[in-house]
Amino acid sequence: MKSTEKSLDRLLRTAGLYGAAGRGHAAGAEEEAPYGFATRAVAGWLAGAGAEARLQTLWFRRVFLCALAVMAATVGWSFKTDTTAPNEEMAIASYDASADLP
Amino acid sequence: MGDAGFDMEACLAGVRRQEERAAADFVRELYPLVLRLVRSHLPRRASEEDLCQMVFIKILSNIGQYSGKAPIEHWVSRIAINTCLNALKAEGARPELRWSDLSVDQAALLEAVASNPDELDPAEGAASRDLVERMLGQLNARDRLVITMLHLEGYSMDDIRERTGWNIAAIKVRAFRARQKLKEIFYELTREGKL
Repeated sequence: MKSTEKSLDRLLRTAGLYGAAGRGHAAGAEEEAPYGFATRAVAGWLAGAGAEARLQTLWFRRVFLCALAVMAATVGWSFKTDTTAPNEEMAIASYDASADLP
Repeated sequence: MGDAGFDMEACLAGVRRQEERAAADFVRELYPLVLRLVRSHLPRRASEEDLCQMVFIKILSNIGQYSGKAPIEHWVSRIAINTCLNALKAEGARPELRWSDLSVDQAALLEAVASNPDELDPAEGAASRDLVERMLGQLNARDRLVITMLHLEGYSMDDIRERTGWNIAAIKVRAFRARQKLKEIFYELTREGKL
């Protein structure tokens, strides 16, 4: 395994000499962005930013409508429970029954 | 980097105000750096231009998070490397590399490196790089990244920490484990080839 280690080191050293820049590209040379690249990247960014803002508006609108629906349901339910109050006699009887318990 | 008289501060201020011209200048200025990183960590099936574009869109979209404490190049490198890492992860598992999968040149190189204790001829650089990349393809994205940066590109531990955001201890452990895995792959290949 020791010789494997050394062989691997040699292989990595030689591969490192070549480098990523050597793969068909002049080593160390700085390449300019291809024609239209900057425009495409900026357009992608602006389109993404617009889409994000639209998504956010849509999300807030949906949350607001859901909250409104829940509020309306809660108000309706509480109004309904107020108008159908339990029979008072029954309530007193059940209170007495529980108060009599040791 | 590109133009020595380029005013990065003014350009960044323009990008923050969503000015298209400033953003285009910013992209052109940092393109060589991003391209170099993308080429070093490019997944097999990805196009380098598409990945560069994805990196710049991420950078521009998150420019508000750049505090200005570290050089912009470090921050950009980190985003570029993380984007490549995600693309590498998305590639998924690769089939096991066998001796029979190697090209004639790669098999000859492996034979030479396994049987000869001398340094390889620098002219073998391209073939060595191809062979190492095929072997690296067997590792997971993070292991592959750390081996590439440490052994093939000669980054120091501190450089890797700045560019990935990982801590030194994690980098050391990952580098050690990745190297062990690479050694096993190398050993298996030479064993199969009866070298």
